[in-house]
Amino acid sequence: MSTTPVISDEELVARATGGDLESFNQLVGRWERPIYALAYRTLGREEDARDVVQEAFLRAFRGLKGFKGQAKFSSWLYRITLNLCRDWMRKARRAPMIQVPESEDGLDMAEQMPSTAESVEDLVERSQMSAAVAKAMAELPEEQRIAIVMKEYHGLTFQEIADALDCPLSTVKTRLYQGLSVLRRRLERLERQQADSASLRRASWETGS
Amino acid sequence: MCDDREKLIAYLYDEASASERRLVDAHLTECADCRDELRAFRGVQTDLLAWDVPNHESVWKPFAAPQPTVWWRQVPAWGLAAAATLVFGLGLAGGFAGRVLAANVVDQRQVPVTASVAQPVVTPTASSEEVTALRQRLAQIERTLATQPAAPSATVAQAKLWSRFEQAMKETEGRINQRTAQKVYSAVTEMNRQRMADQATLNQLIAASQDANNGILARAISSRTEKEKE
Repeated sequence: MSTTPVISDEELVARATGGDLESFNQLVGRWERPIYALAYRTLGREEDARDVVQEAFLRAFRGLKGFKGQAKFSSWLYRITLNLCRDWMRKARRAPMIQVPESEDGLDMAEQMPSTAESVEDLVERSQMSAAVAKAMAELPEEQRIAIVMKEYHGLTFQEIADALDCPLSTVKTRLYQGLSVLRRRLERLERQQADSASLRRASWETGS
Repeated sequence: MCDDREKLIAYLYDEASASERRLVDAHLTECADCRDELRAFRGVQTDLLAWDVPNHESVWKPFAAPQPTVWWRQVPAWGLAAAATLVFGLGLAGGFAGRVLAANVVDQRQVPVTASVAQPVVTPTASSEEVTALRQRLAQIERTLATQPAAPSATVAQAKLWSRFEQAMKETEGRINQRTAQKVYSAVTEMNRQRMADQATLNQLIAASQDANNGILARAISSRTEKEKE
């Protein structure tokens, strides 16, 4: 726990605009992870997400003087990132490719996180679930996926999402509803499949084959 | 809510107004489909939590703080001039940098011009424009070097280059000091000669002036004497 008062994003923006480059580095340090997560979940590829994150911060830096503080710095940054993601998808003209983590069996993950209370079995399940969600999300239409990512993973309000996407409030709610409905169907189907294969495995284990 | 999905979504995400919330609550008590849907959406929300973002290294290269003053900012103008010549000389003649430098300094304005790059001309009395131009060129070289970090193998070569440069600087310093001394000496001699010449002229003028005054005085005295006689 640090006792030094936390400098607000907006204060750091003001300092960076005044030429203090270290303040901008601090802003990047603060927001790189969420911005990366947003780009990764929207685009589905690590390399693409990295490129977008770098470009987003460069654009933010170049546009600092234009940021008048009418919105939160984070909302502004999300907006820049989302615009880049959409450009990216438009250029690539392809559905996002979700990379299924290599540690599909979850054993690598188990080694990486020895301190957690989760059992290997839990981790396997979690890893499979992660890949399943990634796949289901990748299959959503772009606008629904973006709305869900911003709401579920970044906790933005309807209004903030509407501002970032330049669309009416009701559109945001409709996209969320549609997205959740599609995910519901896909994930329920997947869970049934997993339950079936799990019971198959258990049966083969018990018969000793 | 079956026909008002927006209200259900606002309810789900806790962004419904108090009145909307009451409406949805009332509807849920009597509509099993909407209860199902809400429960399913909450299940989706839980599933979504499983989606991990892979760990990644930072992609941001932090902006560097302003660089401290570099050594050549503390070197006098003649040193800048010599250094610039050395850098150009190295580009032109590679290992013969020292000789190129010496030639440049000694031959003064008879420096060969190659390609589109004109050699900076080195004189101990470089004008302020020349020094400014050289400073700019050095700053440019400095920037180029900053954006092209040297490969590890270049360190030895750089050390050699540096010692050669230091030696060349010393030689140049000696040579320039000598030239400056000669210039000062000849300037002082010339000034002395001029001063003596001026003194002589002045003496002549004074003498002439005195003669003239004497003449006037003599004439005045004689005319006055003559008047008194009358």
